[in-house]
Amino acid sequence: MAQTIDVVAPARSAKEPLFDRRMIAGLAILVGILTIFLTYTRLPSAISKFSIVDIAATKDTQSAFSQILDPAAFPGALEWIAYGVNLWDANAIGMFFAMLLGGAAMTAFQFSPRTRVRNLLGKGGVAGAGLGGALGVPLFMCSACSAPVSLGFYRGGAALETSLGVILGSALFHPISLMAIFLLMPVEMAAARIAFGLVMLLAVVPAVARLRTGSPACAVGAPPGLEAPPSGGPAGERIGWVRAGRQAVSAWADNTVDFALKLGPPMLLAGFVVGVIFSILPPQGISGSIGTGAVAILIAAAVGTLVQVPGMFEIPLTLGVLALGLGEGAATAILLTVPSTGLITFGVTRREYGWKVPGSMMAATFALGSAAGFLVRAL
Amino acid sequence: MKKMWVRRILGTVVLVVMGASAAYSLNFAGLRDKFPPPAVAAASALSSPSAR
Repeated sequence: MAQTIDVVAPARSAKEPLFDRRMIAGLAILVGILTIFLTYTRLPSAISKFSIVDIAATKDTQSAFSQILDPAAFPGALEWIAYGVNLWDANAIGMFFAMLLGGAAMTAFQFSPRTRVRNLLGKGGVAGAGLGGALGVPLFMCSACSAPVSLGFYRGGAALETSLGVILGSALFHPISLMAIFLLMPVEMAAARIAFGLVMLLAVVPAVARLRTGSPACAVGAPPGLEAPPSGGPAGERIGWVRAGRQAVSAWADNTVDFALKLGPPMLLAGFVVGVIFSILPPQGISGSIGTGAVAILIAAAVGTLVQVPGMFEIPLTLGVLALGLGEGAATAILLTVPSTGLITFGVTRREYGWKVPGSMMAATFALGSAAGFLVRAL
Repeated sequence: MKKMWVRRILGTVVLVVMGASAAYSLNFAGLRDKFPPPAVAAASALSSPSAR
């Protein structure tokens, strides 16, 4: 499948070329796939969901989104199978395109001139996180599906802050979700969602990124067929466009297949684990036993931190929590924590980022989601 | 070398399965209409005249 790639030792001089033709080809693949994803599936889907997103998801009603298997048709101990299969079906399109986009992102950036483009994406701190957030917004993906794209950036040479920012930008600043939240929910809850997203992106991500030690994953997990990161040196410039395109497509295929093998099985497994949590503690089914106070907020935040749902589903879920009388505090905790991260994102990113980074993101999600819930309840 | 090819084959299989799942979810070529999900098929059976 892979062709031999010319590898030239990086020349850190003022004569480093501005671009590599293979990088341009990789970017074209990335933009092309993203365009197909948005125009053929994601935007039409988001717009169609907008018309039904105000149907509260309660224990006795069907989910606002389609189902493959009906959990009610399963014995109680096996309901997790239905939840897991439904979650896989709901995320199937996003996850497939996430593999393709992650592979394309890694391809584009691994061919980028080492000091020019990588300096831009290699910025750490608040600036890097903000850049990542901005790059994540057009993905329109949940935090599970955007995780492979994040890894593609990271393995291609982007800073960890930028890579984590991609996940949060996509999950928390989904334009259609934000529009629906402002239209359907009290303004204090909508404001809490915006504030939570900004704090997570601009404060938590830079802090959490410092926990990652060692070299970036791109130096450790290079896909098969590429023995060393190629450089955009003189050899890259002399390659013709046709050959550059072929090398970029070949690298993209290798990267995508590598992503699928490393991330597909953990995604499936984590989905069934989320299914177990849903069957034991469905967020919309715990009313009546925990009231509307601090316990309700903490349990809602904990469940929301662990579970993962398709894009925009936090909205009917939150409306369901409100309809069941759990109060705005618990509803706010659900609205903030559910889309942010979860066990699927943890399982997918743990291998590249180490367990401290995704674990700390989950801890921060729980803490800030709970705090926001207490604040909104007090208002 | 052999391990690299095994990884490529397995990765391709996983990618094809994910692609097939995505195609089914998208109702590509009417797949979802031809093979409706069990939950939808059960709901249709309950609402059909013969079920009353």
